[in-house]
Amino acid sequence: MKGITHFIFGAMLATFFVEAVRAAILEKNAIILLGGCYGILPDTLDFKLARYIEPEQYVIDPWTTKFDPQLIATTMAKAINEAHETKKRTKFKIHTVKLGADWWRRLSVSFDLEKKIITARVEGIINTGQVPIPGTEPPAEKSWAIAKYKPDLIHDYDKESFVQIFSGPDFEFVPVGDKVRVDFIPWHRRWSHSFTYGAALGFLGFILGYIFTPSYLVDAEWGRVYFGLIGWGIATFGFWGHVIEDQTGLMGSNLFPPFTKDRTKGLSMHYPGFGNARSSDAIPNFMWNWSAVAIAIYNFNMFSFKRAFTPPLITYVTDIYGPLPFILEYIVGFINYALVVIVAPLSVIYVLSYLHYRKNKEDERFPERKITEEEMRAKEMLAEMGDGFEMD
Amino acid sequence: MAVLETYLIYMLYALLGALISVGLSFIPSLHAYNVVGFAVVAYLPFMDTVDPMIPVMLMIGITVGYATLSTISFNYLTIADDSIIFYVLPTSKYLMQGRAHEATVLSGIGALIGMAYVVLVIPLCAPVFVILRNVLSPFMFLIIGFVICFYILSEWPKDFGVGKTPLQRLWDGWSTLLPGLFTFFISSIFGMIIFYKTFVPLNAAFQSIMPAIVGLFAVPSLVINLISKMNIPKQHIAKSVDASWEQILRGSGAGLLGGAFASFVPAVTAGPASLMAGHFTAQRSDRMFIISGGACRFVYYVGAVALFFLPGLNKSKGGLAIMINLFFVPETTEQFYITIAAIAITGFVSFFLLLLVSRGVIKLLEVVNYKYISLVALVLIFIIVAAMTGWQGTLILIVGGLIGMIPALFHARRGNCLAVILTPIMLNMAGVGPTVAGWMGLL
Amino acid sequence: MAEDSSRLQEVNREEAKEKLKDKLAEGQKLFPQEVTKEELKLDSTINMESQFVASEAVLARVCPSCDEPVTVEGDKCNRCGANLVTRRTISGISLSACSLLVVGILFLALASVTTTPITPIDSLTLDDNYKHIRIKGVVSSVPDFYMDKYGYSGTLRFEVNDTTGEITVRSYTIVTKRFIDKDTLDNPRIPGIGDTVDVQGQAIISETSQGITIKSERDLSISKREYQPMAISVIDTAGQYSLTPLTLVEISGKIIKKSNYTSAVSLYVEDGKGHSANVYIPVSVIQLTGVGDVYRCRVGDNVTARGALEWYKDHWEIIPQTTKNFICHAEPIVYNKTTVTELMANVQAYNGKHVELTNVVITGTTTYTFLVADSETSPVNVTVYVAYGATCTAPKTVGQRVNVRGIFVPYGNSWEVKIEAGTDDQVVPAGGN
Repeated sequence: MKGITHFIFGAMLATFFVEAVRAAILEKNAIILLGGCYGILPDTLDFKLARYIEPEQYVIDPWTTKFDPQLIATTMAKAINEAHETKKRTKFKIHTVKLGADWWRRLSVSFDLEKKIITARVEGIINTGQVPIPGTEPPAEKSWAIAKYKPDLIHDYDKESFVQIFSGPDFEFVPVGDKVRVDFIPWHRRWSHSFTYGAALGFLGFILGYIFTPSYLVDAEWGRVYFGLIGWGIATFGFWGHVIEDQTGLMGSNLFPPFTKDRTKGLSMHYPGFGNARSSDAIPNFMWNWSAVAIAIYNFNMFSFKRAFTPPLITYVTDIYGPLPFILEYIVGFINYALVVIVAPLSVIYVLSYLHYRKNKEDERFPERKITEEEMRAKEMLAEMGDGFEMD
Repeated sequence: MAVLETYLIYMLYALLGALISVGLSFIPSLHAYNVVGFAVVAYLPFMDTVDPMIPVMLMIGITVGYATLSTISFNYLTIADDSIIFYVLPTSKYLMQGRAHEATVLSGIGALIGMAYVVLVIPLCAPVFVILRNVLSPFMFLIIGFVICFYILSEWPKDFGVGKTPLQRLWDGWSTLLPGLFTFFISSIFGMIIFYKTFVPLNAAFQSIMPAIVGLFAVPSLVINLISKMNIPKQHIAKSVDASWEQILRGSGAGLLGGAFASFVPAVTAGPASLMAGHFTAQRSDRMFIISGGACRFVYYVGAVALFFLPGLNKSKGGLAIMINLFFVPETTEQFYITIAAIAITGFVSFFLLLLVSRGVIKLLEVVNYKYISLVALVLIFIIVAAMTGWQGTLILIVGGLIGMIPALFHARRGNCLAVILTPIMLNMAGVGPTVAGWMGLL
Repeated sequence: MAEDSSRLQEVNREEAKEKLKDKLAEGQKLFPQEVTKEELKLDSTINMESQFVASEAVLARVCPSCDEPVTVEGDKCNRCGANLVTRRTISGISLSACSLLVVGILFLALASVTTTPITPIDSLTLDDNYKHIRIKGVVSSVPDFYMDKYGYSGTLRFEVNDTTGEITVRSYTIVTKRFIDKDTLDNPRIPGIGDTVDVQGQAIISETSQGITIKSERDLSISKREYQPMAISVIDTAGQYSLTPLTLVEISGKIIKKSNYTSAVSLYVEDGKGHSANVYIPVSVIQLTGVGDVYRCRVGDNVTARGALEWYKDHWEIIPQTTKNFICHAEPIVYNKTTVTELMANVQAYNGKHVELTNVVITGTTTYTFLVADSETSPVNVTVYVAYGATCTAPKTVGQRVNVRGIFVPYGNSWEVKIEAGTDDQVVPAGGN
């Protein structure tokens, strides 16, 4: 999911903490903000920290190597062979080539698993929107090279990886038995997208909650601890929300470091009519965001001291059965509210989008034109990398 | 008949306002509220005798015109020199491809859809806005806080992290983030000083934030134009635009969301709202971005006025609503309908003015170098700020300009400068503004 | 055929190369940042000229967005990336914009027929606080007027009863001034007791009070005043429940008694048959609607008075809404020009008459009066007394030359020239100084 989706989801989860909502009303307590911050924190840790402190090993910078495709292919093969021979993980990175404010030279590396050949290519010029400029490709005989590697590869992604804009791809070659597994952007979701780290980092939320306990709780027995736990809960659930959201795609994460070491595979959830959803896809992101905002507004209303609106179903049920316990009232009201505010409009948008995509035969989501899971996985990687790109 | 005459006079003043905004469109980053401020000052001595709806209509006309036409200076006079701008905005790309007129029309399409939203959706959805206001009023400070947190946390490194050691790579990767964070921090302090210890003359107090905003955003843009090495290529006046219906709907949908958000939440302007709406709807296309920007800007500027006139809501948000509120409080449904009519009619005229002015600017740029236009605009800005707020405001303008140059030169997000209003307003709404001001020695 | 097509491509490639050279020679950039081989740090691996590899047919297309030749096949321009097929015409968009004009006119039409619904006073609750409301009823109290320090306007306050309840209506300085300035007999803008009014404004509702604040002079309309002529004898002899309070009536008769109070001017008007009716004119009405003939009229003058009936203690009184329809039928006052010396020499002849003294000098002042004489050296003085509200624009300083107009009356053991309010009596600087 996009960063804002994680952020809003974390903020929405924070609104379930009734005490935090009431503290916001009574004393303008801002502990709820932690939900959003922690919601986006896992990707922040990865893209602003982990990627830089990850040790590098083999690095190709085409500017300094004069776009030599042979060097790229040979070095990559060397890294694979070294992983196989030394039984230690090796790393390989290619930097991108920026030609101007909006122009990049595209490169690619592809794996032929049968022939155990890596092909490196220098391709045409693209803009930052990744739109290629036709006619800027170099002559084929000058722009590609191959190199052979020895072990069998376990490669779950698209066999061709592109070096395009901003940051280039990182590979990690992991020895698995007699084979070598290819991991893409190895530093992503290695430890940052985990339940264990989430719970640990949530401790900062506890401290903040403890310090900024509302005055009406300060003198209560265990008041500060109670509010500290609320702070921990908001932070941790915000963090965990991100982790859970990311399991819906093709790339999972390492969920329980330091006890586990490798990333899970992800649930690869399908959206009916659309197939696998990528993290940058508009429809799932929009639906997720809309729902989260709607739920947050509902929570604000229900947990306030004076409600601005009461779903009619609550009135109807209480007229028949009398006053309900709060939790039942919440659920009954939520059913009514969700049907009107979430399900109805999103259903319309979903159906219209599906009808549109069906007409657009070029779109890969057209049900009859499937793309392989490897292609999807690679696109998801690219989407993750590109998520940080925004227009200022 | 007397009623029809009155309405006709109102509409004529609104159209006059739209014509005045044409002049504004040539001056990059000069805000409609600067001119509207003059209108307020000019009206105050005649408060006893002149119908207050007349200056209101004039101000609405200026704002509608500006909301539609401001894209002109943005499209034609924001030059992308890659030595100083890391990522080229779509409108700059279009300019360098000779397609600035097309970009202008795309923005105008967004504005048209924004107009349709303001005149049709806002009246129909009035009860929803009232409910939303009632639910979210106690939590506004949180919403602004969320905007601030997302703004800071969502800026991703643009540099590649090249270096031999992790520390070197970290430093390289953060070379755009750190200036951004610094800009946010220093803009927050700047904003607190303006809010709590402004030394703008008392009679211009309602414009005390204007020199800061103009300094932070307008001055760096114009300075960059002056030092840029780029030449604007010949522009083509296209008869059609490259946009599908899906792109138009998606782009404007995002823009409407962003504009509605900005018109509802204090301190949030069209810029961050458009950014967040773009993320919210996961859009990436240049066309959608431009259309979204047009819609967002329009709904932000004009939607706030419509909400201000909405019976039962009367939400005073946005510079224009606040300025109108100085001398007039809207109350009746009739006034609301008149306002909507003025927006629709003036918007209609503004779209055609946009097409005309765009052609005019193309002709002008063929004759006059954009650097001269930028220089004139820069001088005009200084004159206007000095006239409105004296030497004190000019000093604030200069300081704002220096701060605004930091993100421009270090490739950070320029929206970080918005901390000048986001931070003080958020702190005030959270009730800790005076406390923080006290720590800073401002009280 | 294959040979021919390859020759065609060869020829076109040569043409394309020529075109490219021409463009480069002119300094045109192929796209925003022209990247030379040097910049790319490549040797000959990239052939920039290979951009133009196209057939004649392809070369004939021009991009509608950037107006440059499209040199490759497909739907996109190779220079700017614009889609050549999926496009929207500007004329079509302009046509769509016309719908906004229609919508605008519709909203104007809607505005012209929109009215705020009338709210019964008893239905107002705390939730209505600050809302814009409209009520219709009868003014049930004499309006109060709190003048501001400048003397031109102030706060107007009155009660309105719509049979379900009563509410206080206020207007403040700016709006009140507009009411005062635009008030005429045919188009009254100042409400008076008994008037039927339609008033809109901002509700100010608290637990202990209800009020409306008028924000615009258009928000108050007063129904046409229909006065019914009524005999003074009917009013004089009617009991408390014989007549309807707040009925608008008109009487005519002679003033038999006039009393100037701080808060009102009270007149008793007789019909010549021994019956009289009390006309009670509050000062607030005078301040709001002008002095009219109120102060000019005297005992013995015939007057026509119009107002609303109100039971006060043991009798009915008529309270006018405006002084503009209070008519005094007496002849205008004629001032006898004289001097101080002649005046004091013929006191009985001038007793009770209106006199005019021109260019006299103030020779002394006391707390409430001052002395004037024909000259600084003249031994003959007369006291001048300026009543409350009377016109006196000359500074009361010894030596000041003034023109005096007033009524010559006895006071105690002496005589004085009394300047009365609401008349043509005045003390002004002589020669306009």
